[in-house]
Amino acid sequence: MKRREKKKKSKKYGNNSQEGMSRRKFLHQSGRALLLTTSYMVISVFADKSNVSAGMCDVGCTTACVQSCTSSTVVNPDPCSSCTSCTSGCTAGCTKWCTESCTGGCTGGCTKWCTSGCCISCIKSTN
Amino acid sequence: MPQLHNQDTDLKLTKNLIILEKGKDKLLLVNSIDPQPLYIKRGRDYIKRFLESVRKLGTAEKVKKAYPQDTELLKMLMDHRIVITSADQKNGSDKSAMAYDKKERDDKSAMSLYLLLSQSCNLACIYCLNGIKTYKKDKNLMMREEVAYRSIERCLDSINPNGKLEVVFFGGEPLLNWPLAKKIMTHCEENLGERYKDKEIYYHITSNLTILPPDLIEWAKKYKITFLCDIDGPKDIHNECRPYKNGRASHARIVKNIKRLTNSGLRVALRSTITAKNQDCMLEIAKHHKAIGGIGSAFVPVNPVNSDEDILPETMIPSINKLIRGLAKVYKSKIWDTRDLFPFNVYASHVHAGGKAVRGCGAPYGNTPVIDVNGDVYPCIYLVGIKRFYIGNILNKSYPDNNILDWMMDFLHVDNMVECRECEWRYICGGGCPVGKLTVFENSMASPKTVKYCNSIRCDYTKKIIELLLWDLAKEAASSIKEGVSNKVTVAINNTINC
Repeated sequence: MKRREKKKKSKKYGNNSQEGMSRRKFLHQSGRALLLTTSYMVISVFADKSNVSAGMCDVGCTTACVQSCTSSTVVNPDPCSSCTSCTSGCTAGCTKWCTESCTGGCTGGCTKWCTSGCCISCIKSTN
Repeated sequence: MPQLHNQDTDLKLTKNLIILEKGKDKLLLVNSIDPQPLYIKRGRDYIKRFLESVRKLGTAEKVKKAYPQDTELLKMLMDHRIVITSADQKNGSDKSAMAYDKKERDDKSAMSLYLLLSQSCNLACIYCLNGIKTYKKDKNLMMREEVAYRSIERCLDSINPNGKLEVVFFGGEPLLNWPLAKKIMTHCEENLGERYKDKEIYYHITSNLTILPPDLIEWAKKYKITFLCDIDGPKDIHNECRPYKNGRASHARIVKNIKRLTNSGLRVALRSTITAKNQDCMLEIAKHHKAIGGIGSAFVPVNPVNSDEDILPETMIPSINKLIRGLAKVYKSKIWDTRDLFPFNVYASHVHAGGKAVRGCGAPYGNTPVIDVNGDVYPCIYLVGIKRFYIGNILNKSYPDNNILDWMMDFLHVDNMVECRECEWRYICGGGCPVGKLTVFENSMASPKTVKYCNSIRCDYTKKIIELLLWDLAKEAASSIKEGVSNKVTVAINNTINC
């Protein structure tokens, strides 16, 4: 009985179908994953995205300065990452940034470089 | 998403793989273009052998055949983009794209507008950035209302709906022109509020806090003004680094004023400029910042060139090794939480899926315009007065000169910089703060030591900060699993345990 339960849990993580949660989405939501065998112990590390509270840019301003400095330089979230759970598929325009599982296609919103439009569509499609 | 049911999937290791080792058996793997670190707490040699096999075997089918027990491991490595597919490489998701960047410049959700309210200052810091020629310190130049108002309106016009504008009162010493700061806030609240109701305005003062106008606290409370002040060390060191013009000590008065602000519930972040004078007491500085009520602590290595492009004497430049050691001590001491300790807090914001940074800061995007008293605009506070970085005057159509910003966008992209483009760290550091590269490298007055210092600040120093941060995050992840925080996250294979 115990063994069956274990298998179920493992399957939940590993299932990449539409019914189950995608592995990546699971990682993102949970923030942690552990893989433990007799040979190794592997832990996924995700930082808190809101780790900057009183950000201080080099010259020393606070709060919004960091947003100004990083909002353009740091892509958040990355379309590739978000789109990985896109099972219904992205179109041709989306291939550059979406990853391999985005086969079928995000539609109209996906024009620029598969940015938020695509990601949002993708996320919606799996929710 | 890895599709391992497709047995013929070609597999590769990402070219952006950061590999860190610690102790006898620990390993940390990060793809810098998609920083989701994977911490191998045990089994380093096994994982390294496995990765080498993936590289040699090259397809999912072969890897699964050779390591039938490690399918989950392979998936996990793919989830974290340590192992990628040929498709990832082909479609560009394992390298940065450069084409869309310039359009992003016009897509602004936040800006920090620096208004140099006054070019004058009452202190004579030993490393002052403001050159005598460009800042005309003897002429007591002050910003006019028209310049300030126009600057704010032009920034608000360029920000997207629901965007944020931070108005930073800067100088010289901005509180020497406090009446203008008050007029600006009144103008924003009373005249611009309705017109830009879909945008938020915040106010911030970067001041030496030797002056505290009687109504400052009242205004600061009313408009939620935040403060940043430089305290370079405990009393004697600070007084040596940041004396008044007449040589008198400034520490006691500043600390008294900080306490008046913090006791009123206002938020004052503290900052220390690190030079050869205070490089040996960084931990003391961190403690001192805490003791006097700062809400955050920033450590900034001195910029060795001022606005006249004069170079600081070599004797002022700190040792990189001491800087790194000092900052590591501060970080490990946990006196400050990561989120309140610059620069760790900024790099921590890069460590998540998609947190890649292709440039070191927002200046090339025009997100941090600095307005001189006469309306001249520069992209960064460190570049004020340097004519080749002049991007127009806020009062006319010469601003923004996108040619300069375009050049900076290209010049500072990590895939364009010769010294960065083959480095696996480049997408997580973004090339570091580019000021040294922009101001020192072609300056004939800069000595080899100064050039080396600037290089090291951008590279070795930045990498060390990120390395410390990554290990710390790994440790946190491991302990949270140990503590059962992540009890819903479990992968069990073979004879392994569930947590």
